[in-house]
Amino acid sequence: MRRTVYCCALILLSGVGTVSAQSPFALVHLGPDVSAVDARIDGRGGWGVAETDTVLPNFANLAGLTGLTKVGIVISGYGNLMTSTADGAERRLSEVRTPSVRAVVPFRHGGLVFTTGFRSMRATQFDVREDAVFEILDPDTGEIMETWDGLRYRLREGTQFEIPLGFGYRIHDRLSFGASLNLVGGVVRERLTESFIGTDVENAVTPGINSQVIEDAFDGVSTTWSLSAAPVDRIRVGLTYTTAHHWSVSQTQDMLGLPGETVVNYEIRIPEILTAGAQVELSDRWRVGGEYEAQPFSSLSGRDDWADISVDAWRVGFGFERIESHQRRGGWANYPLRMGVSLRRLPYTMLGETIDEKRIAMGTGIPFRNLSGHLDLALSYHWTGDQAKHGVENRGWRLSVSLAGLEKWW
Amino acid sequence: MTNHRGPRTRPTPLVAILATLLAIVGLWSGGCTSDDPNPVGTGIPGDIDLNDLQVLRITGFGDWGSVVVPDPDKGLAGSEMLYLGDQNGYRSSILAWYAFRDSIPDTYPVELDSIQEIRLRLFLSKAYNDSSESVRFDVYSLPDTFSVGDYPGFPPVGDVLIGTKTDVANVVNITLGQSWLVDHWNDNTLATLMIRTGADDSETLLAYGSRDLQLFTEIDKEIEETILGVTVTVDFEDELGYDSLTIAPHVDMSTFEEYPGQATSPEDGFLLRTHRREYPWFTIDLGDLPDHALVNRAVLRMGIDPEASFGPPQSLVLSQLPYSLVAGRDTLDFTAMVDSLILTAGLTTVDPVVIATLEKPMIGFDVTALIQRAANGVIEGEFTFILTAGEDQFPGYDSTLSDPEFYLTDYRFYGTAHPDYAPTIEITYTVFAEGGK
Repeated sequence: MRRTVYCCALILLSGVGTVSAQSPFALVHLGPDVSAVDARIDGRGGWGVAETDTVLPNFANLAGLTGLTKVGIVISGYGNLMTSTADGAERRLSEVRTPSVRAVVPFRHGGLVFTTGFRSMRATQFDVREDAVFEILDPDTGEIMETWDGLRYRLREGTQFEIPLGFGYRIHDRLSFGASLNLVGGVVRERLTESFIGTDVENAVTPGINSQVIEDAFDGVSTTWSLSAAPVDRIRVGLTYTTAHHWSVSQTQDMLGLPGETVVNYEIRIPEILTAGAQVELSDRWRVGGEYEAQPFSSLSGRDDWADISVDAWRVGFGFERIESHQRRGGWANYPLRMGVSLRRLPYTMLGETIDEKRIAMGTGIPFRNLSGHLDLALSYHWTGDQAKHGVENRGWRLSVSLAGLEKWW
Repeated sequence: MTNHRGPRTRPTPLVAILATLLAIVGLWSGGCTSDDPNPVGTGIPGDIDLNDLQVLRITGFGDWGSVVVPDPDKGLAGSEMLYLGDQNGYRSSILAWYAFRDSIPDTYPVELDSIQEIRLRLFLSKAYNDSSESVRFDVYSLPDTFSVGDYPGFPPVGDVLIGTKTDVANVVNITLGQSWLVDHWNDNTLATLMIRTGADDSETLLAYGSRDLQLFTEIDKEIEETILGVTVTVDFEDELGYDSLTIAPHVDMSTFEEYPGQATSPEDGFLLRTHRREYPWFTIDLGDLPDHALVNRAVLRMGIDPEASFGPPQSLVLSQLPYSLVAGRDTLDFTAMVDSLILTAGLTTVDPVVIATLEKPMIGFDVTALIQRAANGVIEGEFTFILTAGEDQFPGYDSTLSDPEFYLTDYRFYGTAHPDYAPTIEITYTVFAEGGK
């Protein structure tokens, strides 16, 4: 059985693909945050660093994993139905992706846990196409000599991801801490293609297309420190801090039709991330919680074109949860119920305006027999950007799904 | 701890459920659908951008010249076409000689009172069928034979006029004096004659089939299988009962006593000539083309003087050739040329008559690929452009049955000093700011 669980985990890891963004906001900066934690957290407004549940292992805070007595594997994904709007044009997206796979192994009856996994952080997938008119100026007079009709096609793609290797350790019943080493990698590839359908009338010579590709390959390491504490009964707080770190970037530029390519190496400093949250057990089944996360992207350096538009990013979320019950004949009342809201400030501006993402969510879940796992769902609706301010906006639904499996391994 | 669920559990079918769901998720995760790319997002500033299209216009040549390319198989005496008349600086007569003793059987009565008529015949090429020029043909007897190596050049001074006719027919029949044939028969000497057009005729250079004509389709079908060349037909008196004899010349050729050469400066223009091939070449200085330039389009435009150009349509082919093959040379070996040519671009059926009807008498060649290779620095050694006709080595431009040595066509290109139609390479390019060679 244990071997099978590991095999499943490997299958999951190998099956994880790049995360698609397909939002116009993916065209700038690092791209949208796609790092869904899990459906349980999503369904209650995003608060999770104070969580210590052991049926649904929560990887937002590794210190909260202590107490786990079974090997856990959690796969989280989501599906998007989203509409992007700009200047009266719309584009609809439907996709299903798997951005996170995590595993945890307990030792010493849960006093010490080790984790690993794979997590997508940001994605930049988006393509745009527009009709374009290219003016050819006479080199002698500067006047328009010809105009070429054509198309301008731009593709941006790639994902930043991390592989966290970490542990959690229980110091005291009320205090645990954790740490992880996060191996960061990924790529952003941008291709701009200009095709010309205009021809020279006299000679019917079709101009050659322009196609330029810039690829940034990232490589870096960060560390995350975690703390989970219960200062008083029914109240638990959590804190995580991911250090500022550098991504070594190898940028390759290539233009179709020209020999060779240019490789430039540089570094990007990614600011630190601080997340703090708390939850209060109002009763045996009801909890409320909140969380705040901040990443001062205004201190990003290494990319002048990004630095100019970078702003401090933050996220705040609130929500409540009615945890599941196992009352005989309890019916619907046994199911968990979660609701929450969140507000996220994206780490960059567009047209000089900051961008906020508002989200309202609700969720529930289904336990497996003998509490050997859990299937959780969250449905949320979000508003990102404002046409009037940013030129584009997103509206859409997200269905998050998490599947947790637990198995004793000894 | 909020470890609120019992830690002690029995084994469950978790793996089966997990595997099933994972398979579903795995299948889902492979898919991503959305509308096709559209303008949503075009207003967002991008991280990469291409420079505006730039134009570089190059007039003038780095070096230039022209080369005569003799055909190893066909000299002037072996040409399939004979040229007669004058046009745009050309003037040519036709020379022919006959060995009557070899051509007329001894059984024939070659005597003045036995011969009814002697006719000299010329067969006009179909390419000139629409010519309505009335031409006066003067046929002179020459005192001696001629050396084919002396031509092009001035023919011998005309000796005795033995026939003359003014005609516009496709097949010209000129009656000759009978004594010319009888005397040479009796003396057993070679009979030599020269055909010239009248001095007061309007300028027209006409092409007639020679004795070496192989491409019979260029002559009217009505006279197919006729003995060709400057033939002499002898009609005997009817009562003698001899069939007429048609005698082909032993040699017939054009003289081209006036034959234009290239201008001394490219500013004054230059020519491309077929029949006796003469092809212009020129180099282009690309020093003003920036490094890392992507050539979107490069067009060589050349103006043709429709008034000075004449002849049947030919293909014009622009090729790349090692500069060392032509630098400082007047002639170029045909085999060496065709072995070294790299086709760049070409045009089929460039008709000087049609050129005259264009709003701008310009032709253009797409040289984008070659200029890009030059900009990329991948061409070994210095190269030159050479402009040729549609040789057999260019199947796409060898569009006519006749090869370039068949017809004489003269294309006169405007020179680099011409205010409107000077040869120009116009390069539209985009600079790749960070990459390239």
